[in-house]
Amino acid sequence: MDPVSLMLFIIAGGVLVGICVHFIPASAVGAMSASTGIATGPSMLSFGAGLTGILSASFALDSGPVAMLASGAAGSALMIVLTILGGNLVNAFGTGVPPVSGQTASGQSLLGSSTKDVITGWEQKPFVTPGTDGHGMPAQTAISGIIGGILGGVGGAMVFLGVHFLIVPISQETAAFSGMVAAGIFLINCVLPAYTLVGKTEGLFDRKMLTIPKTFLSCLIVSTFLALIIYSVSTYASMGAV
Amino acid sequence: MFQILLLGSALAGLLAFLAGIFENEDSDAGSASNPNSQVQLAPQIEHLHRYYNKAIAGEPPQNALWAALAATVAYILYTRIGLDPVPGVILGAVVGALITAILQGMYGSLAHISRIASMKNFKQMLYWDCLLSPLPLSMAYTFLTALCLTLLSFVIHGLLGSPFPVPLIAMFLGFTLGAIASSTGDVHYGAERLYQHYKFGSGIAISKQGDIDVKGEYGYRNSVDTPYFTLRFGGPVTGLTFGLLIFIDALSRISGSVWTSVILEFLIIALILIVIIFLEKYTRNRYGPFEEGK
Amino acid sequence: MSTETPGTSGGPHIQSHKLFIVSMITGLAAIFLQGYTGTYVFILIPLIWPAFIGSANGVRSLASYGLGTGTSSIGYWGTAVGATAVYTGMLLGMNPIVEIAIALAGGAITGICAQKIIKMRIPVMIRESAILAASTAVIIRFLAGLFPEQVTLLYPLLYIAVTLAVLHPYNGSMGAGENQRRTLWLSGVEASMTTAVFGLVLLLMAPSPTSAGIILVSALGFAICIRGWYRMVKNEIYGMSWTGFPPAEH
Repeated sequence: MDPVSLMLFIIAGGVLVGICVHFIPASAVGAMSASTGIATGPSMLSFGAGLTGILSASFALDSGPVAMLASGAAGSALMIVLTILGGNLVNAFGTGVPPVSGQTASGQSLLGSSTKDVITGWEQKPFVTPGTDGHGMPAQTAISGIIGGILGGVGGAMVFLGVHFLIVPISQETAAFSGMVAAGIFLINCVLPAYTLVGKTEGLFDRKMLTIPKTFLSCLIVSTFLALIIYSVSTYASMGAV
Repeated sequence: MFQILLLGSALAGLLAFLAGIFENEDSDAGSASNPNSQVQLAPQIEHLHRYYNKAIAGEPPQNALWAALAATVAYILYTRIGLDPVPGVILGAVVGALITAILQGMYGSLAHISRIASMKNFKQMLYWDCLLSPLPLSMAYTFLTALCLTLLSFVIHGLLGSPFPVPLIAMFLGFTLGAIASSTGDVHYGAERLYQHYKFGSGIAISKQGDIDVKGEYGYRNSVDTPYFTLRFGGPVTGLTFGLLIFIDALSRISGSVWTSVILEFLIIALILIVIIFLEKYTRNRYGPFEEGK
Repeated sequence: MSTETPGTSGGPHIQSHKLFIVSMITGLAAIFLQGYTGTYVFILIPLIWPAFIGSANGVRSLASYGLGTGTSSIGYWGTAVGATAVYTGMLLGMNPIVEIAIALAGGAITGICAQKIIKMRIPVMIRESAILAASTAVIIRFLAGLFPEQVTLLYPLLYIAVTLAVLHPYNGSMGAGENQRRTLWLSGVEASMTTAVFGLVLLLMAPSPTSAGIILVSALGFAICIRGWYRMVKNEIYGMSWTGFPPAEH
């Protein structure tokens, strides 16, 4: 592939990483079963998922771009779905609460006044512990988490792919370098949306989905800056070599 | 090739399972990660405690440091000593994990003392034995976590054939394990162990937060008591989650074709999703709705 | 600095841009002198500690506003900007000043995005993120320069160890009685711990008087800083005892 499209890969990957954070249900107070979502900060969780994706994608380095992206998506989605399973197990048998969406129960989600789960159609309201904002990950947030995992994995793999093939001509230890830089770009982009989410989101049906344009724009600017630097380093070095 | 991949997957799954348990116990013994906010909040509402308040960082970055440091030292030692791969790697990993455990102990005690010093207004005393008795325990768990993650990185690099160098894989796995442990095992500590005086079967309302248990089975609770409780459920679930992740990811690649692995993984994801929905149905039927006024 | 919590014995407040200028001068001097000192490169180690202290102060100024994502995220985010800039630059053997300028620009751009697009309402956001990114870039550039070969292998450790050293001082001292001086003393302690760790890694990689010197200088710094920090702890803590129970609750 030519360098310009590789640079576009890095930019698109960075933006996808930013957007994926909105889809992954996460909430720090989830650790006290006090709020719906996986019990950790959104940026940390998406970073953990994204790294699994990059690691999976690295195995498919020689199989072409599409296989790499698919492999990354599968790795990240697997990590998210297993974490949801683990979190729900602890909520069910450690704390003794059923998974339930707090925002849907209070009728403030994007679904309007409906208090039922979209996927299963189960009523949410009576199952919320009084005084909390839901707990665990019900079916609709699990689906949203898988979508987020796929987006994050594709995004991480795209950044990795872009950086890797940009520096193949100029470096010996490309995998080491591009893995580290892909992780760095992933980190920078996944913290920005966490600021708009203020530490808590329920995923696809949360009202905070409406802040995606802000995330999109800021991640676009930041990724463009980083991609331009890597692109110019690569071009400069290959010119110097000629 | 097939045999090596199979051996690699089995070893990786085993090591990941162990690393998950140890990591979760390490964070619980130091009340790290998200439940830390409760231990931090408790003195403000007059619950003076004897917990070890090990606030090093969020769980993912701190774990990434332990894993990356141990793996870097192990890799350097392994390449320099020139032993056979198996004894060389194990020796290197043990030395690396030892250095890591010492660093963790330093970071942890600095954080504990400094955080207690910041609580002057709430009359929280610093009891040295509350720091010194859980410290070796927490360091030992860090040693085991770092050891398992380092060996796991060598397995993924050497037997499964990832192109990334060992320290980078270790950092990635450290971050991932931290994210998983803080979102599965810590719920058992934060929502149940710290709030055992509330009735089983409810989340902790925001208004009740900070009202933690300071007394234990007998007398005041110390952080050494925590793994006694969380090792029975929270730890193994964390291990199961991380172990399954590494094992499924490795095993799906056994045929050698990328697309088979992707299709297999998505099939498993769909299967797990069904399990999640059945679990939800089971808990709803089993526990029933909350009654009004409770 | 509207939401600063007044320290109990905090003393005068050190302004972050002054700390930044000091750390840039000493840090850049350390990077440029690296080529000339040879075996005695360990005498430059103290020159890099101000950069640790400056970035810990940056984390402190940002996180004291309450970001909603935890202190850790600001630390690893700032270090990621610095580390990415340095690693990309080192690929070409770029001039360190260019790398640090890239990090500064990257930090400022992310700060502008957070401030103007996401609207975080933190007045110091742009300045402090730029400072954080540039200071961590200086640290990583210097530490990477200590190693003769195989630096790519050390990239993950360089990144994550600097992250922890930068975010831990504030995260570890958080609470109502936190004050700048104690946090910065703690930052000095952790800066020397981090340089000692890299001295140890260098010792394992290529045993030489240099690496032993790095560890010795770091140990000396550690001894000085931990005394300063512990003196402040003793002044500020409510009480210390070997063992005991909290007074009865109700």
